[in-house]
Amino acid sequence: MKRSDDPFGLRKILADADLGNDAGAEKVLSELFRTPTASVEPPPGYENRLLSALHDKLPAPRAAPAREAETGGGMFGFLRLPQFAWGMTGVAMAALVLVSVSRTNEVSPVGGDDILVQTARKDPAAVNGWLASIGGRDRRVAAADIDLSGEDPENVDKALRAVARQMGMK
Amino acid sequence: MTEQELVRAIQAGDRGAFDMMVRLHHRSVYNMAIRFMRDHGGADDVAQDTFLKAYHAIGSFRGDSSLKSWLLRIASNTAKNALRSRDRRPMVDVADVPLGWNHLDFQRLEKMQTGELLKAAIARLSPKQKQALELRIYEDLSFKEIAEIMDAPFDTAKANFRHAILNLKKILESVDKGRGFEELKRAFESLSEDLDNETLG
Repeated sequence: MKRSDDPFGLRKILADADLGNDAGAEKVLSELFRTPTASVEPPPGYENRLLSALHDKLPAPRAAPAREAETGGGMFGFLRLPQFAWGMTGVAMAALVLVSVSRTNEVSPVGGDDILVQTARKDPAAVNGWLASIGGRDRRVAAADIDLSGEDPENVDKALRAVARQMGMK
Repeated sequence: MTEQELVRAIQAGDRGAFDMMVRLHHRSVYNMAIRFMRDHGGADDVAQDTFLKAYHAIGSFRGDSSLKSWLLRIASNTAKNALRSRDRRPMVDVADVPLGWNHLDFQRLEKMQTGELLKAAIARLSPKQKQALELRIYEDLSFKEIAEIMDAPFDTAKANFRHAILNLKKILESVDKGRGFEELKRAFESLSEDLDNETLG
C-alpha cells in the first residue's frame, strides 16, 4: 500500500489491532482523527514555566574548580585531574566546531562580544557539550535560540581560545 | 540531532539537551498526567516529578524503547503514586476537563454531532480502554510501548484498544442506522459495564 492511500496510517492501526476488515472501526478512526478529543493543551507559557521550575529543582551544573587549589602533586599533577580529561574533550569539541564553521566561509554579522553565542548557533550540540565539559553552560548560550547561521572562522577561533584560557589551557 | 544523540548528551550532563527533551515531550507528559490527576496543579506536579526522575535515571536508559514511551511510563507511575497518596479515584475523563462532562445529560445525546458524541463516549470508556486508545491514536505509540506504559501484557494492551474502538463503533452505528434515542442511550450505558468490571492496576 502506498503511503498516499493511507496518509494517517489508519489501516495500519486497524490491521495491528486485528480490525483490518472492519469498515465500522475504520469510520471510528477517521472520526477520531478529525476530532482530536483527548488532547488537552497545557496552558499558554507552560513550557517555559515548567523549565524554570525544573531548573530550580535540578542540582546545579558542575562549577569549574579552581585549578591551582586542586592540582597539587608536582608539575604534572594536573594530568591526574578529571577536569583535565574533560578539558581535552572540550578541545576536541572546539576542533569540531572550527571545522564546521570554517566550511561556511560566511562573515559574522556581529562583533566579538557574542562570539560564543554565535558559535553555539553554529553548532549547539558541540558547544553545549563543550561547555558542560568545563563545568556548566554559558548563560548567553542558554538564552540564545539554537538556530545556526553564518560565522566568521576568526571570531570562532577567538571565542574558543577565550574559553580555552578560561579553562586554564593555552 | 537524533534521539540517541540527545540521550547521550543528557547522560553527559548537557542541560541544553535536557531542556530540549522537556520541550519535545512536555505536552505528551502533561496530557498523560492530566488524564490521571484531573486538575492542572496535580498534572504540573506530576510533569515536574517525571522530568526530575528522568534526569536522575537517564543513565539507565538503554534505548530499548523510545524516549517518549520511557517518559510516559515514568509519568504514568508517578501519577498513580500521586493519586494513591491523595486517595483519589484514578483515571478521570480527559474530555471532562475542558468541557465539564461529569454527568452526561442523556437528553443532549440526540442533538450532538458525531464528534461530540465520540467525545462523550470516550469520556465514558473504562480507564484502560481509554488509555490504550489515547496512547495509540494521539501519542502514536505501538502496542508494545503501550503495554510497557500500562504495565500490562502486549495482548491486554491490544485488547483494550480493540474494545475501545468496538465500543465507539456501537455508538456511531446506532446513530448512522437511525435506531433512535433509546438505542443510543443503551449504547452509552453499555460503556459503563466495562468501567464497572475494571479496576486500575
